[in-house]
Amino acid sequence: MSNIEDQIKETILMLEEQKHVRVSLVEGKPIAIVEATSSYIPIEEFKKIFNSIGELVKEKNIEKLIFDKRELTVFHQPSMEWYFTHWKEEMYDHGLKVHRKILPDNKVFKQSVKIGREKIKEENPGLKFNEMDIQYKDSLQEAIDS
Amino acid sequence: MVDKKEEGFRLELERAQNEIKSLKANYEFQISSLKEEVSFLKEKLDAQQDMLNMAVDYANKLGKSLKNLKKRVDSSNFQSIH
Repeated sequence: MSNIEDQIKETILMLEEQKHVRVSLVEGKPIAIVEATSSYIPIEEFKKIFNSIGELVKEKNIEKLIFDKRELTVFHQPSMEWYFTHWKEEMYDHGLKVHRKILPDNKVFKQSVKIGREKIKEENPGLKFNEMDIQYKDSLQEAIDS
Repeated sequence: MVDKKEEGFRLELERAQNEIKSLKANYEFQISSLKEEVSFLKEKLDAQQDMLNMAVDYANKLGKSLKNLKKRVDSSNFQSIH
């Protein structure tokens, strides 16, 4: 069952369901939600998905992106690197500066995200993602509200 | 009579050929889906391995840092505040 269907005050408008993700908008707010629906997203699919979300960001002037990763069981550092160093950087220039993430309840996954993020920060000190508002939340409602 | 037999045989042959075509298409589709699934699982397993290696490396680094800290504490002269 979709996490998005869980007790949300706002109306969620589902835009499309792809093989590994479900993409939605929060009605009346410049917020997009990307919900992982499989345990792993291969990197080429990941890039395709986010390139298409990039078009949505430009078209709908999205300011906040919620990436719900609760279904994922495997963290993939090269995908994360591309996401941080290419996609987020480009999207920053289109006004997407707020990112909320919901992680799976998996200690190794969470630790890997932390290590991966630190590694990217160390290797790319000049990136704009250091200026973005990035927070981790436990539920969709918290991610929408914060 | 012969014409009717020939016609029946021709139709039968056509039906068999169509069935072979359909079976072939179905087989190719199944093989392609299987290849896709195997490739997905392979990439997922590799990523899982990388994720675990990263966590193990991190744990080893932490372990080393703790050992170093313990050495420093053991080799220093700490004065009791009491």
